[in-house]
Amino acid sequence: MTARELWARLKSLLGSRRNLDDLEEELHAHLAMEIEAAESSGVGRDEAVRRFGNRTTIREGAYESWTFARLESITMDIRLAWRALVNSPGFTAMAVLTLALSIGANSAIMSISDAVLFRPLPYADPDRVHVLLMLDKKTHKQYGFTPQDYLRALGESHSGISKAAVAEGGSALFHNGEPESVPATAVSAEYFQTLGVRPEWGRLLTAGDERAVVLSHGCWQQRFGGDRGVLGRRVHLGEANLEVVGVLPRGFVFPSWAAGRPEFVTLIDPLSASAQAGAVNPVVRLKPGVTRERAQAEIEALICPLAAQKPFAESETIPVLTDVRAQLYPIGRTIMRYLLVAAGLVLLIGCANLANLLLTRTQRREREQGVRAALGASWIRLIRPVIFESVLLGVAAAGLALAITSVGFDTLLQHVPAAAYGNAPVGLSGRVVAFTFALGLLGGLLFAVAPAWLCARLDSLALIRGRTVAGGWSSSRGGGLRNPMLVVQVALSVLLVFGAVIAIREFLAVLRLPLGFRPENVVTIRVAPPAGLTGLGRRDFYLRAISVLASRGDVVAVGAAGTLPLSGAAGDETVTVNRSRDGFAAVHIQPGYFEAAGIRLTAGQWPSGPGEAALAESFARSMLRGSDPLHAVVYDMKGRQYRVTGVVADVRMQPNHPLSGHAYIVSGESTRGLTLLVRTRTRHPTLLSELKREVRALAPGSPVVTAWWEDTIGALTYYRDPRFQTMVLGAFAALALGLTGLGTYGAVAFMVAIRWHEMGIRLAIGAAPRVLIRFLVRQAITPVILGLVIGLTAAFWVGHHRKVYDPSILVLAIVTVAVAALLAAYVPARRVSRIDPTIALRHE
Amino acid sequence: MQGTLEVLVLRSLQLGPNHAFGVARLIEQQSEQEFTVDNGTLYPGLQRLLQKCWITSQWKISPNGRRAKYYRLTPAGKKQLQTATSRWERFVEAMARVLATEAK
Repeated sequence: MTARELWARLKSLLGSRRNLDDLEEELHAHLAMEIEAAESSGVGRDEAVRRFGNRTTIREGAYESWTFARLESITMDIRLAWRALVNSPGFTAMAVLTLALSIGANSAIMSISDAVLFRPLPYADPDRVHVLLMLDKKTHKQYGFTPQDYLRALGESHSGISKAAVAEGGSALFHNGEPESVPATAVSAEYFQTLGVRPEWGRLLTAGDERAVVLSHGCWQQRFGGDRGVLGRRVHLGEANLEVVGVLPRGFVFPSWAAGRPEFVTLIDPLSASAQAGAVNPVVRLKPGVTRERAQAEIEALICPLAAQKPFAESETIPVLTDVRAQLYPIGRTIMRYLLVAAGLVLLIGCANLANLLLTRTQRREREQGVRAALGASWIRLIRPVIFESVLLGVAAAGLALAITSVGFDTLLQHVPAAAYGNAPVGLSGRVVAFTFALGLLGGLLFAVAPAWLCARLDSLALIRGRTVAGGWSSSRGGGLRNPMLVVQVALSVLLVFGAVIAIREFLAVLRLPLGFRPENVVTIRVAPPAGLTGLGRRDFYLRAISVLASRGDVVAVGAAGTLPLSGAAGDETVTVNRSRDGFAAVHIQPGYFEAAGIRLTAGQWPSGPGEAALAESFARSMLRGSDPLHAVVYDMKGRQYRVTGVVADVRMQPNHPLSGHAYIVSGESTRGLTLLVRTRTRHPTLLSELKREVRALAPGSPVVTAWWEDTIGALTYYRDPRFQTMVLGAFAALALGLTGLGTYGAVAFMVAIRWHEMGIRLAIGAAPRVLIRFLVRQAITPVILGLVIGLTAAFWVGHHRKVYDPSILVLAIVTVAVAALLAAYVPARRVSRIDPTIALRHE
Repeated sequence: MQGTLEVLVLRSLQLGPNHAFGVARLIEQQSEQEFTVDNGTLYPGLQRLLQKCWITSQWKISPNGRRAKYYRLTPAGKKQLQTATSRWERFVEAMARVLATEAK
């Protein structure tokens, strides 16, 4: 079709009215000429008219030959649907709101779970990227730390995988006016190449970039205002002066938990103690054509000889190629699945209720439809406005749902524990928008099915014979359809409410995991020892700070540690236990740490001075295999000995990992900075600045950063908050029940209202209004009760099967549905019983 | 045959602008009443030709003083008529050959 042709068609579409008039006039002239010719040749007028043919058919034929005629009839039907919606604003508002709420629940959950469950990871060929975890073949426990000799062996001899790229998360002091603690990660030179990431701007780190730093997209936007001139700028990170060389792309996620969500990325120091001992969650890329199974078999062939030389306890632990997603979101995937299921059930409730409402609405318009059918509308033309109506509703609801989600997303995110999504880039994206509109369209089509079916088999003859709304198909066939529909609607809603609540309860059960420590009322103080101090001097500085702070009246306990739980790093140093060959991460602490952090002692006693150590419970169990942990000895990198004096409870080191633990050593000298931990009696607002002043007095010139521990681990603590649990459960239950109540009300109210004509007759022949009301309510309630019974039976059956049981929510569901139905029956019944019989009769 | 009427309409308009009645008459006369043109197919055919921009239309006064809609061939229509004519000639020749061999 050329542009000119298209233009000709468009013009005809826009001026279709004029076109038709034009055609009419042309036909008229044609007929006149035909008659003239016929009369002059003596054939006669009638013969000429006969020869001319059926004018309507000619006109229709000419009109239809315009290809846009079909489109025009579609726009007409859309206009019809639009008018129908606008003419009943109450129905439209309720339908859109119902659907928007149930779709909104889905798009909100999807905006978080898309990144966790579905969206491909932002790497080149993401399926080939894997993380190495250590798996204990006997206990099936996983460990993050892979020893250096294993990594070396794999890097040198493995034919199917790239050299392991490693990243180590942590934090650094960013000097920009007031020094600030920022998340920072160090990566090995081949890291970004292994992932196949392209920079947003500038370049990424490669070998020899020891003095360079790469910014995260968020850091570039917030700290540097998205300025392109940031390349070449120098930033002070800790003690280093680094040059900005590039910016990571938006939505980039580090493939391992150990890397965290840094703002600054630097090159790893290959000589650092941790780098020499091994790596946490190293990342490898499978070479093209290499399957995971083949690569894994080769790993085992390479590692088994090495492992055989190791002591018994470690020989069973080998590196395993692990899916990045499974490693990144071990809990998040479960959580998001439960939430998606719950949201999906809520959507089903909304659709089921709306379908019934739309069905009754279609029935109300049976007369209009009957007339259209009698005038010769095909069944497609009959059902098209009905389908367009629901599609319009669906699209409007999707738009509203998006608006609600985008406005409320930040609030929502604050209430979803970070453990659910880890460091995934969450938020509204094009994918979520598409998903939302797809849901709207799908929902629209779904609940248009029943009314469309009804329209398609409309008996126009019965209508023309004068059957009324209460008589027509509503009672003979439609009534037979609607009453069961109401039963099904109520039964399904009860079952779905039950399902949604069960899904949410399971979701909360996943979250209800202990931290292992108590961050409430604890202040963390990051401080570097004054310049010039080394070794013992640094340790003494921290001990002095601890004793000064502990002397305050409002302080309960004070301690210090190099690495806090949930800070992203695994530990401060690599140690060995009982002369085994393998290294394990250990945390440097000073006495008082466990009391300040609120970590329980399970055996022995607290380590109280240099040369003493404590082991975490799970670490003691898995590494010592039954030998008494209290007689174990820990060796640090320099071969110094630490006597284990106690066993302490496990803590959550990383947000979505199970509880784990490690060794804690009280070191004689401190080579790295410690964080002071101060447990106070109450969370007093001025305390932060007071404590900061005290510490600053001890170390003039050193940057001091104070914060409430609870705040720094932020959203993570939400999952221990009963308010959050009540809120999630309450919100979902309220939404599900609200939708059910609305739907039941709509359906029942309509059922009663359409019988006003019949009621008028009953009133006219002397029925008492009170009796009428009772009669109507009883009739309307019967299918609701039947639905409740079926729904409850099904819910109990499911509950029995899945061994879940929640009577409170079922009682609530019964009450909601019953109240909604009673109210819906009573209010219109009262109105009906008050009508003037003469009006009802005259209306016919 | 598909498109036959359209070729006939284009051919009749080659003689000069004409209205629908005239076109129908012309085709009937030139085919010596072999073809009778049904208005139910003539009008959709004219609309299709208009859509393809092979003809244009204009209201004019006819010689006997009546307002009528006149159709006129466009340059694109002329070109189309040429290709259609040669296609038809090939078709007729081929038909004749086939029927001739059949007869022997």
